[in-house]
Amino acid sequence: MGGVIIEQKFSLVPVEMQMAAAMQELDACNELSGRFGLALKQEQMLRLTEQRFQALKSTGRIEFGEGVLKKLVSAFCDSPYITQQNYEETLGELQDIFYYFKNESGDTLSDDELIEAMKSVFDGKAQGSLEYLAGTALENLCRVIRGGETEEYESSPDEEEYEE
Amino acid sequence: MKNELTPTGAIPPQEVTDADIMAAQVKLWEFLGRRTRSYTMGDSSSVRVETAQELFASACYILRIDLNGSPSVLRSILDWDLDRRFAEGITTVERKIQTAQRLWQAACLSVPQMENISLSATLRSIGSFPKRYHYRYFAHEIPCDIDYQLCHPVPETLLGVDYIIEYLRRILIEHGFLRCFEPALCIGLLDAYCPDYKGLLINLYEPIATNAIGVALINGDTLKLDISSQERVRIATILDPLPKSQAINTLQSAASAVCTALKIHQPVARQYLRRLAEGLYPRIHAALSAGNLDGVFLSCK
Repeated sequence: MGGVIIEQKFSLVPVEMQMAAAMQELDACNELSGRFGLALKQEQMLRLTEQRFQALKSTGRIEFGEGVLKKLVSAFCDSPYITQQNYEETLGELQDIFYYFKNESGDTLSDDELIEAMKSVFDGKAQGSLEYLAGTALENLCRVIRGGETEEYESSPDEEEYEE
Repeated sequence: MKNELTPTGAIPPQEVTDADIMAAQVKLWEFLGRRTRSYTMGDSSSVRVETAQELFASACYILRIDLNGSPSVLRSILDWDLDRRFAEGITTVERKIQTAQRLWQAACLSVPQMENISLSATLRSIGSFPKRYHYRYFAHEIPCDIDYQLCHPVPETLLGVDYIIEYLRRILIEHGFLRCFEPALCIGLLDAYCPDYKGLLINLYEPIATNAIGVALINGDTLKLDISSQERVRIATILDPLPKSQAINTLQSAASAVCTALKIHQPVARQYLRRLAEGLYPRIHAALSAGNLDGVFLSCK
């Protein structure tokens, strides 16, 4: 009942202060990713931040405090498949994939578990292919989590890769 | 830019400044963030919007914030230490849960000797309420299957444990009333009211109380409950010539007489029966138009 009232009274658009905080977080990430030759310019940070809120909106999620971009940067900055040229695009895609699969997994995976799974497949079987990561490996993982088709997942090469 | 915590209509802009709205919004946002982190135990930085809405609704319930209320709500939000107030609210809810448990025990012990499946199932379900009630995160929810219909339903504005307490208080009033009568008489009347009174979702209090009021209207013995066809004619003779307000007064006086006869002194229980008496008028009016009161005041089987 309370939810209905809130729905009527509040719109679900990101807060300006959250946008500013997200930009600051990304700025701090450059220090870490810089060691691997990766850095984001201000306009790229802005685009990624906007993309974050768009991804949250389209997946029907809401985020408090630090966003997941910082964790994604920390996890993926040492990937051999990410270069300065595809850095922004890949981060944006990974962010979309992350929120999508948070829903698909029914929120049973923690942020760290999902990112670990993504990184393992991305650097392994997917060889940097975001399509493979989202379209095959994570779909299989989430099917298992949702409680079905364990056999398919168990025999899947992605699983073997992930376990390595 | 508007956001999740921007009131869009509840607070007249002339009453509060934009800075107040922004400050309250930030304060609530940060508080909701802390509640969400506690809920996810830090495992997830994001939750589904529906989950956030439920957490927020729960927090508003615990904090006693009505965002549809007056502008003073906004001032209160700015003044309060939300975490402290929330902790105090949780303590209050815990006390209320204990009250609900005591009321539930009393309700179970006072169940009248007439079978009704929905009543038993509802009481059973309320019995597990304390275990199923996640008041730290979803305090506004009512995790029970409440099928048994009360004579006067609990307002849906009441949430969480407040709803359960009020439901049990009302059921105790009904049980107390029903236990004043011989079970065999009640069963005979219920049989006449609804042959499957055990299985269907009916209220046990209403037909019994209605007949008790009918008996009081003709100055009969309240405890006998039964109303014959001749007595129905007498009731019709009393009520038919009266204008609406007078007929309602007469019905309410009869309800008071029933309470006095049954030694029901609790004001809330007396008021409960008077409300029923008032609600009887449209039915009686329609029945009188049709020529008889057979469907309102019943004869025991």
